[in-house]
Amino acid sequence: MARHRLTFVGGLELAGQVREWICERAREAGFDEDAVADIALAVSEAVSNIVRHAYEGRADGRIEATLTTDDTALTLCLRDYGRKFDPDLYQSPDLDTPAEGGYGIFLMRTVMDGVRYETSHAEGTELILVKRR
Amino acid sequence: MGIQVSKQENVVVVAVSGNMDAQSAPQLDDRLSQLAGQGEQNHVIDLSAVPFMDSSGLATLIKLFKHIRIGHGDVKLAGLRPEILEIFQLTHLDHVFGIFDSQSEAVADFG
Repeated sequence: MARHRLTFVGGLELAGQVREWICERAREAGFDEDAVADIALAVSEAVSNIVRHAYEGRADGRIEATLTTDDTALTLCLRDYGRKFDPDLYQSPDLDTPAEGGYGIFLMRTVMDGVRYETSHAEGTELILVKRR
Repeated sequence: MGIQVSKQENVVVVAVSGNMDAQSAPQLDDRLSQLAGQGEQNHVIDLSAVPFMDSSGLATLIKLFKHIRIGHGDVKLAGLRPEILEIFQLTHLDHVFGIFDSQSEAVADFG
């Protein structure tokens, strides 16, 4: 089992930074390029949402990324300290009507094997993403 | 992100290079809005040099599509890599945009 942890501070540029860091670790752990593409998409959506909504677009948002890989899966925890996310408010997009927003969480849930929000922290939200081998 | 704009008869061709994500999408959005504001109706967006796209990139293209459809124009996409084509399929946006293997095929489809 391998475990990596890194803290990122910034704005929307973090989507690319976290994505590249995670994808590199996923390749090192032996995930194939199809799986890495799915992980890249999910991470990009997750970090963009954190910056836009939890940190309301600020340029100094703090995201702690903890990545664990083992024989069965890659598990990524993204912890923020911004406005709490309420997963009960999420609505799936109407795929028959193109919209300029609303696809992010849908895509995350579609390409990953597990997407869970931990909202019991006193401050912020923890998003747990799982990709099985 | 690189954005190259050219015109082939009555079709505006926008060749994008680099990732289309939350950080870069606003730059493309500004350029596409500018083109649409100039009255251009027929657009081909060449994505052959785009290695990564997320929903921010999708949103930019949908915004252009909606604007252009008001004037009965169209937006066609060319050169999508398999992982990007999959995002269009997952969101059913492959039924909204004409999607072509190459820029020349997309331009030719405007007739």
